[in-house]
Parts: sequence; structure tokens; C-alpha cells
Amino acid sequence: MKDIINFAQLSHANLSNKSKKAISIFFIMVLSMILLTGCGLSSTTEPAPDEVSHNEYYYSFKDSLDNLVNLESKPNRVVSLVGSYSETWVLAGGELVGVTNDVISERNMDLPLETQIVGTIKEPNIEEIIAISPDFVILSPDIESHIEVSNILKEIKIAHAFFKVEHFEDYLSMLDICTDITGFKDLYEKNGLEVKTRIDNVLQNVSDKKKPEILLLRAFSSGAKAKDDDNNACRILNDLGTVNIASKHESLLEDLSMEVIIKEDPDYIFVVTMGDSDKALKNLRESIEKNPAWSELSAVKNQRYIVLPKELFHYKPNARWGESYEYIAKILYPDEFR
Amino acid sequence: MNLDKTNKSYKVALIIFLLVLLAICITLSICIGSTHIPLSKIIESIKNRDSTGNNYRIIRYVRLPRTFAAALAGCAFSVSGAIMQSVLNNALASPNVIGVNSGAGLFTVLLVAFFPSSLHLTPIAAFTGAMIAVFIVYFIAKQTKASRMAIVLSGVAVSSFIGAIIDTVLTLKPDVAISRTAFLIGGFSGVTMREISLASILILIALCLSFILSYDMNILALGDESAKSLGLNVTSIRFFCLVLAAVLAGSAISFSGLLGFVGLIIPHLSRSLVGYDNRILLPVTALFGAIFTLMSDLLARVLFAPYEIPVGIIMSFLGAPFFIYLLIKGKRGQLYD
Amino acid sequence: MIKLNNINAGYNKVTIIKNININFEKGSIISIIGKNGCGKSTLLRTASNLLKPFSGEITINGTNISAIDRRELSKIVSFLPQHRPVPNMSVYNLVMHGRYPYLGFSRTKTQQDKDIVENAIRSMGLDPYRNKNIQELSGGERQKAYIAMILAQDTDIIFLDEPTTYLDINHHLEILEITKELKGLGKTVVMVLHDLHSALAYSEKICLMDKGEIVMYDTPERVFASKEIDRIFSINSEMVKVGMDEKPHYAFYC
Repeated sequence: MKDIINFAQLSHANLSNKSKKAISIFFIMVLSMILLTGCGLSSTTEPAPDEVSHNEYYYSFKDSLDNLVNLESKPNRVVSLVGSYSETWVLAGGELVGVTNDVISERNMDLPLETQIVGTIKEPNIEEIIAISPDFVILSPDIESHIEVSNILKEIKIAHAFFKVEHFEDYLSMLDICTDITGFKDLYEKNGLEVKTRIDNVLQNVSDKKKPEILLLRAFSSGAKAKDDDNNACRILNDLGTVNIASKHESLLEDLSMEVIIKEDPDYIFVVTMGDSDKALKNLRESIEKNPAWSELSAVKNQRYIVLPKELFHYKPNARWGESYEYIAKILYPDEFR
Repeated sequence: MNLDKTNKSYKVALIIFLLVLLAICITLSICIGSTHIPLSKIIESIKNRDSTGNNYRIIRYVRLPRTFAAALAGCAFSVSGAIMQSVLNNALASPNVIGVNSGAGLFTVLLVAFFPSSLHLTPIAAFTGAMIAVFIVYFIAKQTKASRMAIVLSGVAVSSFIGAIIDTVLTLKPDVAISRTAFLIGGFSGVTMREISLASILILIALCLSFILSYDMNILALGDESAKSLGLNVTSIRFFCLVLAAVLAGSAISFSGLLGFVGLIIPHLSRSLVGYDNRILLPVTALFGAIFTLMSDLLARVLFAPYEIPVGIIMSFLGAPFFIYLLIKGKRGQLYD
Repeated sequence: MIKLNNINAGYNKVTIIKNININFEKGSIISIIGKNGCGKSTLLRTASNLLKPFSGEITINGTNISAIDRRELSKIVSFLPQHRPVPNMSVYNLVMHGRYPYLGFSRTKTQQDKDIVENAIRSMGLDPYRNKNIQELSGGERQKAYIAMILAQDTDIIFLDEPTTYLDINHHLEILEITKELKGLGKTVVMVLHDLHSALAYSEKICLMDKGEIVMYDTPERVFASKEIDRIFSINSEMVKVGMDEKPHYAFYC
């Protein structure tokens, strides 16, 4: 015990004044770091103080990140940073001053000449966005650069909203909000509710007897992955009464195992391609399809190995969602659907 | 050449030259961007401060924060590297060596993987990870007297281990990989003044403290025993300097991601111009670091406009040849013979 | 002046030196000799407070060494290690670092500091090299530069660990002559020497060590006469008188 006290005394005494000063500076720094961090944390999690609440806002709603978006007046200089949302906005009767290049490369949208391209969906150019003086910007919460852009938009106080659309009901609610903003509720009828009716019609005719087993593959130029629920094509398949073998074997989602596929021997195999379709399909041919067991699968033998069109199943079909349902329904239940 | 380096007027002239160069870089960085704003309009918007004018908005909210961030990160990373190289007597020391980069990377990946709704906490996660990693590295090294070599080896070991953890997380949760790449390569696009305010205070404090300690770092160069017998508390000073280096790098990482090379090459460049006296070396390194980073960021924006190359890639392209040159010149890994 | 009582010390919990009781008197030159590994350097390091002993006490003029503030201690005790990195700096700056314990927070050098450094450089004959980088000096000149730094540190006690190893004979003797000057200034010089001749020729007292303990601590004549050196090193020795003034010179042979 004495040794410990001696040792402690020795160590303390050995600290010169200079190093005591250094150590105390250090502790003060650590302390202030913790304090500042705490302050920083609390200020980022506190909701931004509301301005004196006017019920004077043109329109208010909550976006997909739960932010309250207040539009002071009807926006007429709208920028959309996602091609599919650009289409939705136009379907709602709105006009765009700025879009990302995927509206051309993926959607072949016909836009007036004045509409500016402000970058790619992955890398929108913030300076270009500001330069066209937008009063409303549409973004996606899944893309990191969009979050960065929103930080700057927040500082400049340009109204913006995040939308997340994976399945039809997401599209429907986004269309609802958009048509509220544009005021063209008839377009909500035409491009939203009527599509819903079309889908409901399809679903009503789905037979209960069959429950075909399916596998959905998403192919890209360097590989392929099995997909499950969170993918919009899978949801359509689900709604149409199929069983996805990937939901029975979760490991399939990570690791496309030929053994599991052979064991389950699904009735249908669907493929959706990403990126360069030709390359993706070529890659598929040279990997999975090369496997001799592949040609023994009943789906392959019976012509039930189907490549789905990108516009209806990879890109969000928006107003054509009904078509997507019909497309698959015709394949699965040819008798019920003409 | 030796005489030149220690000549006082040479040093003063160099500092003035660097300050002027820095001012030029800052000006260029504000004036050049993906949208073209003529100089007259820039001056006009700064004078009028019209917050609804687009030019003003672009300058104030896009270019200015970015310029500030690049200069600050450049200072912080390069001084961090200079301190480490001096205090560890290792020419290849950089913020990576004591685990700063891996720690920041790990905590960021963990945040994105398990708390994806709290992405705004990324800077804090990065900084915390950096500091924790440094303490672990130092603690391990301390088990064997915390000599310079022990710290370096411990850093390498800990970094590898953390790297393995990161890879495991990424394998189990592949969606994280996408956000990870952007952060790891590093860049200044989309920074806001708010993000960098806390970090800049820490960086400025740490810079001041390191300038104050620069004389003591010179004494460390004499060797542990000589330094001790001159009355320097070697272990404390070394530890404290490493903490400063970690704070500098960790704070910079929090808003810029992992920018590797600056901390490695800029100190060597400065040393070739002003020698090893830390009192002049650290300020010169800070200035060079800021200038280099600003220029790299400018190139990143301008080379393939309107597309932007991540600034980390430009830096690696510029830094790698210098690195090879270092190897050929044969520094043998030690700073002092 | 500096007294070690019942000191046991070593590295990594292994005891290298034990039962050390010794008093290094003011104004004298003491040489520590012994076979490799007998603990000479360990003793030097322990005495200069670079190595904490496992047990025992060290006092300087009666005050326990651990009670002395680190900086104050560095004004009293200096240590020149045998191995050290060669930093990249001029001779002048190296010698100026010897004044480190005396510098205030702002590190401004007073006129006194500058004078002391000038004297140190001059007395080591380093004036022509003052602005040269020490990495460019020869071994002998470099060693003199380090000793100049020790001189500038201006301490009462100076510990030197093998200060003349690897040096040419002329530099070797130069440095030993300097220790005599230091003694003349009232300083205590304690050095580990490999060379038995020099140790016996230049010291007031010889500390002969073997296997971690002090075998004998006495004047060179008595240590020599006891033939303990012969026993420990397994050699023979003889004293011869050389020169006009019949100075004793010690010879060792198999």
C-alpha cells in the first residue's frame, strides 16, 4: 500500500509545471469538445423554429423524411432531381425548369427547350440549381448528394421536399400531393385513381388455386441478385398471388445459390436488368445460364424464363403501373387474362 | 543551401510569398465554379449582399463554405502529418498511421449501417471514431513503453483490425457500401458553414497549440534520453502532440472525408524548403497544405465541368509521383539518421 | 554530492544492478568500469534519474531526487547517451538546445544564454563549424558538438555514457582533457569508460563493477593494486612509469 502511495506521490511530483499546464489544457479541450458536441447535437435534432405561423401558406405537407414543407405560394419554377419524379410532376400537370439527365437517357421525356439539365441524378450540380432560381426542388432521400444539396437549400431557404417511391401506393400519394400543389385534381383522377382501378381489376381476377413459385433476378453488368419484397417488381408479383422462393430462403438474397434454385425449382423466373441491359443479359448468359443445371430447371425448359421490360419494371412506371400488373398477369394466368 | 534555409529574411520572404499565393487561391476558388459568374458580378454581389440574388447565393452558400473547408482541411491534415512525422521520427507517418482514418471510417460505416436515419450525425461519428482509435493505438503502444516504433506498429495493427471490421459490416450489409465510397474518397461538395463551424474551432485551437509546442518538438528530435535529461517530459509531450494531430485530422475528416495524401506529402515538401525546425516548418506546412488542397479542389471542379471529380482522386494523382520520388531518394523510413 | 542508497534497478522487472551504495563527490572525475553487461550504463541512467530504481533512494546534497522538479533537476544533472539519433540542425542550434531548461515560455534567448553557448562552442574548438549541419560532421566533431551542448546546459553533475567510443585517438584524448577542465570548474563528471587506461589515468575515483554490483570504489592506485581488475577480466596488469615526469601508466596483457 505504501508503495502505491509512494508511486503516486512520485508520479505527481515528477510532473513539471509545464506538463501540468499541458495536461490541464488538454482536459479543458476535451471538456469543451464534449460540451460543444452536445450543443451541436441538440441543435441538429431540435426542429427548426417555426416562423410565426401563418395560415397564409399556399400549401403545407410532410415529406418522406417527415419534414414539414411549407409552400408560400404556388411554385412555378420547379426543379426535380429524379427522372421518375420529373415525370410524376408533369403527370400532375406541373412544369419544370430544371431536371437531371436521366429524364432523357431513361425516360425519353419530351420537355420544352427552356428546361435546363442541372446534372445527373447521382451528382446534381448545386450551382446550376441555384442559378435557375427555383422556388421548389424535388429530391430523393436515398441519394447522398441530394442530402447535401438539401443542406444548402435549407440555408438559402428554398422550399424543397423529399419523396420516396417504391411501390404504387407511394406513387399515388406523391401524385396526390403534387396535384394538390398544381391544383389539377382531375389529373389525379386520370393518372392516379384510374390506374388504381385498373390494378384492382387485375387483382380481382387473380385465381386462388394456383400459387406459382417464382424467382426474381435483378441483373447488372457485373452480377445478378435475387430480389424480394422491397423491390417494386416483387411487390407486383406478390400481389398477383405468387410465392417468391427468396422469401423462403433469405440467404438467396445475398448469395445466388444454384443449389437452392434447383431444390425449389420455381415455376417462373423473371429477370429485370439494371444499367446497360445488353451487358447485363450477356453477363447472365455467361454465368448462371452456363451452369448445366440451369437448362434442367422447369422454368427454363417450359419457356417460363422471362426478361421483363425496364420501363415497366425497373424504372418506376408511374401512370403505367396498371400496365405492369397486366403484363405479368397475362404471363401467369393466360387463361384469365385474354 | 543549408545557410539559405536558416536565413531569417528567406523565411520571412517565403511566408509572405505563401500568404499571397493563398490569397490568390482563395480568390480563384470563389471566382471559378461550374456556373460562370463574371468578376464584375462577383464584386457587385459581395458589395450588395442581396440574399435573393442567385450570384450572391452561389458565392455565399456554395463557393465560400467550400473554399473555407478546403483551406481548413488542407491546413489540418498537413500539420497533423508534420507533427506525427516529427514526433514519431518516421518519414511515412501520416494521419493514417495512428489509426485516425480507420477509426473515422469505422464509426461512419457503423452509423450508416445501424442508424441510417441519423445521417446528420456523420461528422460527430467520424470525429469520435478517430479519437477513440488514437487512444486505443496509444494505449496498446504504452504497454511496451510507448516508443516511437511501438506507436507506429500499434497503429498499423489497429488499422488492419478495424479495416477487417469495416469489411465485415459491409459484407453483412451491402447497402452501406454506396455511402461509404463517397465518404472514403473525400470531398468538399455540399459543405455548409454550419457543418464546419465546430470543426474549425477545434482545428484553430489545435493549430495554435501545436505552434506553441513546436519548440518542444524540436527537442524531441534529440532523442528520448537527451530530451529527458534536458528537462522535457518526453512521454507527455509526445502523447499530447499525437492527440493534437488526431484532433486536427479527426476534425478535418468530419467534414471532408478521408483525404490521405495531404498529410503525407506536404510536410516533406515544406521540409525541403525550410528544414526541420518545427517553429517555421509547421506554419509553412499549414500554408502549403491549404494552397495544395484549394488548387486540387479547383481542378476537381473545373477539369471535367460540369461533372466533378472527387478531390481525393486528384490529390492521389498529384501525390503518388511525389511519393515514388521520396522512395527513390531513399529516406529509409527514418526522418533522422 | 549525489548519493545512491541501496539502489536496485533494471528493465522490464529484471534487476540489473543491486545493492548499490555510492557517493559521487563534488568536483571529481569518477569512471565506471567493468565487463560488458555488468550494469554500468544502467547505473548511470539510474543515477541521472532517467531510469526509476526498483528500490532505494537517490539524494542530491541531501534532497531526494524525486522531490526535485524535472526542470530544476535538468539544471543540476545532465546526461550524454551513447546512442542517439542525429537530428538535422546546425551546431549552433544543437548547442543552444543545451539552454532549454533555462528558457522561459516565450523561448527568447537572453544575452547570458548566448554568451554561454558561444563559450561552449569556442572551448570545444567548433567555431568554424557553428553553422554546419551536424549530420555533415565527422564522428569526432559531432561528439564534440554534443559535449558543447552539455557544457551549455551548465550543470553541476555530468554523466557521460562511453563518450569516447569509436573516436580517433586524438579526439578521444581531447575529450578526456576536457573532463579535467570541467572538474576544474567544480563540476562532478561521472563517465562509463571502456578503455581501462584512460579510466585509471584521468579519474579521482574508479567504480569497478561486476555482475550488477560495485566491487570496489576507490582511487585508481588502490583499485589497481588490489588486482580486482585482473580477476574480473581474467588478465594481467602492470604499472609502468612513462615520460620525463614519470607518470604512471597502466598496461594490461594476457
